[in-house]
Amino acid sequence: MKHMNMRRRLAALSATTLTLGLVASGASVLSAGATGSDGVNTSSKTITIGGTFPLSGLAAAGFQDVAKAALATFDYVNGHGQVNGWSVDYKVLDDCYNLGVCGAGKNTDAQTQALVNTPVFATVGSLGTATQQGEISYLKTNNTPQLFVSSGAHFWNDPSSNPNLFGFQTNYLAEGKIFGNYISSKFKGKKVGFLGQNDDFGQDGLQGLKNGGVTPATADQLTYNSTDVVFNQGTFRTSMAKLQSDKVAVVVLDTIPQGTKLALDAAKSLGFKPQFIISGVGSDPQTVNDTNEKGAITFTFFNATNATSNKASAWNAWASKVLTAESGKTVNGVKLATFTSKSILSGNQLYGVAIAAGFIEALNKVTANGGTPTRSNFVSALTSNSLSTPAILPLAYSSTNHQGLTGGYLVSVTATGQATGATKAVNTTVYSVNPTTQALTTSKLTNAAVPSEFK
Amino acid sequence: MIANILTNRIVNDIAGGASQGVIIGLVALCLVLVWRATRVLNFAQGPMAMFVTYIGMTQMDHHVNFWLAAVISMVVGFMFSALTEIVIVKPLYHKAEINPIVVMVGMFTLLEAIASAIWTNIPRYPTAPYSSINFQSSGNPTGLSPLSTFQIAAALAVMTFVAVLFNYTSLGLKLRASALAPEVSKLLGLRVSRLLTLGWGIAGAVGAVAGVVISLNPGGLSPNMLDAMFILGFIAAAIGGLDSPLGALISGVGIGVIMQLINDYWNSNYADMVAVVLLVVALMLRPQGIFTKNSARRV
Amino acid sequence: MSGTFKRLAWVLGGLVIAMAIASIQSGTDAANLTKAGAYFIALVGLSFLTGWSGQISIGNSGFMLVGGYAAAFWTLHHPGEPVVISLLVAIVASAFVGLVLGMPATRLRGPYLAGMTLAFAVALPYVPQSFAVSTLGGSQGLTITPLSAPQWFSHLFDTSTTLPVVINSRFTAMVSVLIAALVLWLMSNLFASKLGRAMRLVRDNDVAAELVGLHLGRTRAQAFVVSAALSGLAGALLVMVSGTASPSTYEFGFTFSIALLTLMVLGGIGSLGGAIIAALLGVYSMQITTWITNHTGLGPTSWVSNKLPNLAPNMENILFGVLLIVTMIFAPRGIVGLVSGLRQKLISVTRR
Repeated sequence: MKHMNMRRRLAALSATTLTLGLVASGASVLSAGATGSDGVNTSSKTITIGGTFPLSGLAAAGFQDVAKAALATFDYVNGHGQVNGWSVDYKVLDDCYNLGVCGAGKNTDAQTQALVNTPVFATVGSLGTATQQGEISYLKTNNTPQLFVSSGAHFWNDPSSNPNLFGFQTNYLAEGKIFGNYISSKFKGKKVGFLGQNDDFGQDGLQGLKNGGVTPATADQLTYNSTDVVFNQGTFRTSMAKLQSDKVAVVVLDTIPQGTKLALDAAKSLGFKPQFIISGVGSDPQTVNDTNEKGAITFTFFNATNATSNKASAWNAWASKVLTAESGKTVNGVKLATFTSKSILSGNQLYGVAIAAGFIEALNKVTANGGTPTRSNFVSALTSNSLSTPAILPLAYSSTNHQGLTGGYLVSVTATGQATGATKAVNTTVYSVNPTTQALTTSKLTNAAVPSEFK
Repeated sequence: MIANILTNRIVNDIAGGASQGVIIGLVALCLVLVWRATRVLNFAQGPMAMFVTYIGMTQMDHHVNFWLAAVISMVVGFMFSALTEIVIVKPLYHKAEINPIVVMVGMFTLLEAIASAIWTNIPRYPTAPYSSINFQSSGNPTGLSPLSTFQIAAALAVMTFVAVLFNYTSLGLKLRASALAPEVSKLLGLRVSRLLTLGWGIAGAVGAVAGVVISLNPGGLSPNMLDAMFILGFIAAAIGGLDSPLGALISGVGIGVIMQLINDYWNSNYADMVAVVLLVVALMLRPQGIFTKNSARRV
Repeated sequence: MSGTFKRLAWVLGGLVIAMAIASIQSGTDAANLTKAGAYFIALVGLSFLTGWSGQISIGNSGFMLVGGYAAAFWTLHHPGEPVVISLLVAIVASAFVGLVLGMPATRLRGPYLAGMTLAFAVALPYVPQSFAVSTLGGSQGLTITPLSAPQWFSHLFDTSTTLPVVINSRFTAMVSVLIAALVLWLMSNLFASKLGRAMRLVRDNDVAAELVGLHLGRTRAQAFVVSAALSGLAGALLVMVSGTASPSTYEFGFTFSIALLTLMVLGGIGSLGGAIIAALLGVYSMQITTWITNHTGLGPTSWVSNKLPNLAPNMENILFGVLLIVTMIFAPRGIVGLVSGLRQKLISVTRR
């Protein structure tokens, strides 16, 4: 009797494997299209790419705007002239940032594997340092380029071991150096304190600060764990109290937005009013949404965002136009954000437009004279051209440099709040740090024109 | 002299840690109330409290003042928790002890998702009735602000209410009886089923207080605002003993204070791990929690 | 003896079918099947501990982390050696951690054990992140070359029509299914063995178990070791496929422990067939919920979504939550229990 039970059990189990497997393979036959092995469909002239972002869960606030703005840009360009007759099919998948109880299946590994098997031409703009680092090896083995990773870590720039891996934003080393350079000229002799996240973000930021000539006293170099923003908020209070009792006048924060908010609030409750200098990653005034941020200096590689600069900068005006035109649409199953011509651009939205623009620029070069995109000619187009995006510096890769943007400039926070957060330029000096030599160069901020392919 | 004490570093840490700790203690208290009443570990305690806090606090957008919003949260919290017990928990009594856990995990996922759908993941910041700027003593900040004093007072008031209700009222006696010996209570004519529902309702109202109090912190009101607090609250409840409301509050405050002392005097990176180690050590020494009376399991 | 062979025959039959499916699948489904194999092993590990020995664990993601890191560490320092050795190292390492955690844990009951294992799972990712950073890679973790299809395997397919990516995914799917089948066979034997019977006695009646001379603590600790070893194997398998073990790997976080628990109960607690269903549910839950969303007029272009723009990305989680609650209330023995219940009813109807 017992054996009968076991047999039945196993029979049922084999049967379930069979049915579910068949359902799965049946579904796959239906979904197979005419797209080629590298995500390029030469008959419909469509190139399929993808990216993973947190669209739900606790990291979704703020970060989902990057994905949605990029999706809006691709959809807009597809509908407004295309790129030499080519359109881009951008698959945005939710990875929940590997956090939270989002239901099984929503994680970076699974979603990246789904993209690779679609197949996509490349992943573009996928977000997160730890999440994307976990995919380098897998994407490399499966010959899928990993483009414009949305993270400020320095290790995306490693062309000798990862020739198809490209970073995008100015890294934390460069940002730190630019802060250090500014502090040592503007706050000469003032005592400087530092609070940074206990990973490459904080470590590179501190190293950059030192490269820029500012070394906070050992007792004033403080760290927190990324999980402290929920598990151990008290650490921001003790950190600010330490810096206050050490009579620090300038505080550099390499913190994520929630950490920035906690640190600013702790300082306020202690009556501690130093000059705050906040990493661009953690300062977006629309995400931080904290009145105490007013007057803080931060770093950006986009034109300052406020009601007038949406019009003053040609790229910001174009980004506003795209987001307004695409407002509320549903593209590839993702509902885009509501945006009117009066809305103020957020840093995250400009970021999304910029990664899309970078891809479109490179695609434009590849397909200029009737060319067909391949992974290898696309990668060489990236490394041999200077690409224009909403960022104030061109996206200049080379065969030995896959960092992406190399600098930016300083802005101060003039208004905070979800819909009203805005910044203005501290001055018009643009700093750039060579990713190999760490040499700092300066130039003047210019209002770059939007290339003609962006209608 | 007093000024020195008030602005002393350790005293500040203890005060700051206690204001975090009372929230942990309140969450632990909810878990204990539910556990005592129905032997269910309410995994959805955090999201349930979050949800009703949203319902109450978003009324402030419609010119309802803070106190009324808080009362709305508590009333809705009571009703919502009682309704949850009736609809989805009752069918599971006398089933495997893991089943209610899974149902509450489902409730967890469901409520957080619904809250994100309605109110989005972007945090909201209800206007607090008190300032978060610390009291000053001779020009130096102390460890408490009007707001954190209010938060501690609210927790203590809830604790006192629960203690009085359970120990000094006949309703409390009935609640305890129906939880400890449901069969006997039934024979004595108590409407046990209704009393268990009431136990959940009280826990729901206490959870709403925890939610309202934490929504005034810098993190604000967001769908996941109580997730971390649930884990710490669970640790506190296990250390204190799942049958001891007082133990829950004491160990919650204890965890808050110890973490804050580690932040200040050791390394903040170890603070959460220490909470875990505390739990392990406490359970090694007292497998049923520190504040639970030793009761040998009878054969 | 004959029972063992019958079980083997059934497992082999199922294996052949699953392998055949794996060889004709699309890449995405093959990648999902790979994950499902690993999830199945982890689920059996949890099912053994919770369903058979009656100890609730919310800490099995921690054992997966140990196994994953052990495999990555070994592979990194012994490149070119067979994958089997990496997997064995992972099993040994996680079994050892299981023993260390299992010994004190045997004194704890119900929610206290749940609390302690949850704390273990919450705290464990901090270990590689904060300690031995030079050995374990800190927040970046360890990176190895992921498993890819060998030459002979690629030659089985027409490479002009089948992408290398798809061949890789099919290969990992087969490896994963093969290991899962081995685990299935071993566990179905263990279930019928003396240890299996001891486990059930300890779960159902610990007093009686002590009376017949079973050492309760030892039996419970044994369950922990077996459970940890299986979880470690599952973690190692995932790492060999993705090429990375890091503190932020989804399956190494405590939320995955909770996901495992819910999947196990949905499938049917303590049942091997239930674990198979649960594993497939785990990897296809998104597709299932998306399908339901789009076929019930709740998709992103629907009227409701226009009113609540944030509904669409959260719809899957809403459905997942509802599914858990409804299943537990109406089918507390999970899908396996529901199926066998329906069959019983069907039989009684036809006989009438």
